Amino acid sequence: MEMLVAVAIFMVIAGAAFGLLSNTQRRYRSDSQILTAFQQERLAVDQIVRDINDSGYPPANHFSVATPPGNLYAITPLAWTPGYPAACTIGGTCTTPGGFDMIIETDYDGTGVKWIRYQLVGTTLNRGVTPKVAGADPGAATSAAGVMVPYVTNVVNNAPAATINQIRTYYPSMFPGAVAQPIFQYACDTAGGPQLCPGAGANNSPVNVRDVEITLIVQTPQNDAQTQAPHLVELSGRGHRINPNK
Amino acid sequence: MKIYRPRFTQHRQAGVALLIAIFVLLLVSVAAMAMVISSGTDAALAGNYRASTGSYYAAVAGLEEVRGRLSSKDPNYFGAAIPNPVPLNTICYLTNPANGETVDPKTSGSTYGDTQYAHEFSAAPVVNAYINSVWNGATPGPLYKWARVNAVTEQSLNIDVNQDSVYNNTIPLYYDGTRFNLTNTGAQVLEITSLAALPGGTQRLVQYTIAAGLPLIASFPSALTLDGPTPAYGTPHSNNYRINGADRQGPSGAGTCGSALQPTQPAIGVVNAADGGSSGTVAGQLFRPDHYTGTGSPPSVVDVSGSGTNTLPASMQTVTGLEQLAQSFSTLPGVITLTDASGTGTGPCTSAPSSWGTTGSPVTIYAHCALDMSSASPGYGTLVVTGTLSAGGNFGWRGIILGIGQGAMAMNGGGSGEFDGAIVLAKTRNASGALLSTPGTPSISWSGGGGNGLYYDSCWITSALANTVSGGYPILSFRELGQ
Repeated sequence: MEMLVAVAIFMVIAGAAFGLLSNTQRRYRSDSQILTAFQQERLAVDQIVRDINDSGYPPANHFSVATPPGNLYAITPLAWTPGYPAACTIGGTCTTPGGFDMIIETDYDGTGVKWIRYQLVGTTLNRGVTPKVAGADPGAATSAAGVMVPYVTNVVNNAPAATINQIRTYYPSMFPGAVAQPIFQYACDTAGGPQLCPGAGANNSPVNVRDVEITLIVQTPQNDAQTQAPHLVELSGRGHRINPNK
Repeated sequence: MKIYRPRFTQHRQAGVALLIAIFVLLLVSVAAMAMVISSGTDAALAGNYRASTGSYYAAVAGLEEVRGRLSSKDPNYFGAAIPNPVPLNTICYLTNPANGETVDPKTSGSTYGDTQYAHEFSAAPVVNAYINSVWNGATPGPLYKWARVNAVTEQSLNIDVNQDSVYNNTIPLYYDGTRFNLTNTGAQVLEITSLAALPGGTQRLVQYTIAAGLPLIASFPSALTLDGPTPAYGTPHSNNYRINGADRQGPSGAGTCGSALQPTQPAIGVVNAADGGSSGTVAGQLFRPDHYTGTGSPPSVVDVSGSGTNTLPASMQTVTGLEQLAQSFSTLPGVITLTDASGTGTGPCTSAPSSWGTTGSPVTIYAHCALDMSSASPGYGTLVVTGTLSAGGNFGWRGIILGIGQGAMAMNGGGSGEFDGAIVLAKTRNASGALLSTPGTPSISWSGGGGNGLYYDSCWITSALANTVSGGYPILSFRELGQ
């Protein structure tokens, strides 16, 4: 009889313990996904910021000749398409740079100037690096096969309207205006200090970009087990171009 | 019959509760550990992010301390501790140890030894005595450990500056205000490298190239430069009015400022071939052509838009370049700024300058308005005007005048005053103040002329430009280095 009571008590306690453990495991799995997303984003934002900080090296002022070969120096911290190197306007005639696409021009390792592109395709942020080629179009060069590789997955900055609305039912402050959230926003140098490029008038050009605000939103593969709310991780950063643009 | 009693029943059950308790404790511990591990990972990720950002700004702090202290205006100016110029293969370290810490970058193998120098230079350096950071180990400050200052060469930068296919390692690089060179022109290029190391072990190595600030304008190609097509020249009729491109060197004659007499310049510089020469657009508007002397036969009106020496810099032949130049003057320390009521830069100035300057204390005036300089008799220094510059009576200027915006002067008389130095007029905006796509027609309207005139004068130009040095050490490039 005592044994039966002991076993019964054991079963109850063990059941409660396993229930707690199971709940903890579900929570752990869920949190792991958030942490993975956070980790991915943190590395990505950190790398993008570094690339922007380094952009424009070496500038044209490092050469005594007026027109050194175009692949030896960075004409501009940010490259663009179409029409490169004839300037375009951000939010206007530029296809790149845009809210989900950016090409940085720099020599980050002393082996020559390169184009580094970040481009959101669907829900995958791709990154690609290719040597700068004088006279070539940066957009075309970085679009060559094998250049762009997946960098961050499940990026929802440019999600369909239905997804954005679903997210906003749980997190009303996200996606202001219920529209896509640009990953990259650009501030151009003006006489009165940096301004968002589309409002910078004659200074609206990739050549004059001084700061790039980065906002990356990643959704985890699974929703919350209890509430079914989507798990989202949003990280922000700012890259500041130091190198001159001439 | 022998009855067996379960003599040891109680003994068999003894310890079961303990086992159950241990088992439950084990389960609870596993759950607790899972939660601890989860939160621990979270904290570590946040910590890494903070360290990454913090180390970057700590390293940049090292660069900025050196850049600031190179300036003679800094209260902690390096002075003779860093030679000027810095010889090749001589390096200076600024060290910033934490309290009780040893930072010895010149010793390889030390905790914060400088291994980066050897990547750029093959020769062993001469290391000057260490300089303490302003924090000096006592006050908690940014966590950079050292910052290094040295001269650079083509080889050290791995850049063929002059494109001769040789990476020279014996000639220090200089900066002429626009470009690097190997001809000692301008200011020496210095490299600052800074290492930051956080307590967690995160390290960052970043680098600037810098050079001492230079005057905003290196030189003027003529006494009067009409920087736009088909200039309108409402010619003065006074017999005493002249424009002379010969270096006047101050009112007392040659050599008054201790510098060599400069080569004679054109009286009037233009930027289109059709506007220059004795039969050009400008010459056809001159009342007394023989009063415009300088290079060539009178009237000395020369196209200065080409390349080579004695030409107008290419940046001063575009609207963007001219506007940037004018804007640069507006941010100089001590500049006197005037504005109009509309903010367009075309209306009358709402006030007069607080000073027109003196011989020993020239001023820099940035008039974002139409300025009447009648009371400048004379003024000294640099005058930048975006609207129309006008005057009447006994007026004059010693230094430089830049009319960038409306590119217009409307003068009446002139008394006995005169202009000594150089003038540039460029029309970059329309009458409403909106930017033009290309420079428009500059204009001068001068009734009479009196005893006035314009005389190219390198002394007054130098005096005015000395106030336009942009100050400090501008950053020529930045990069982060791998370790």
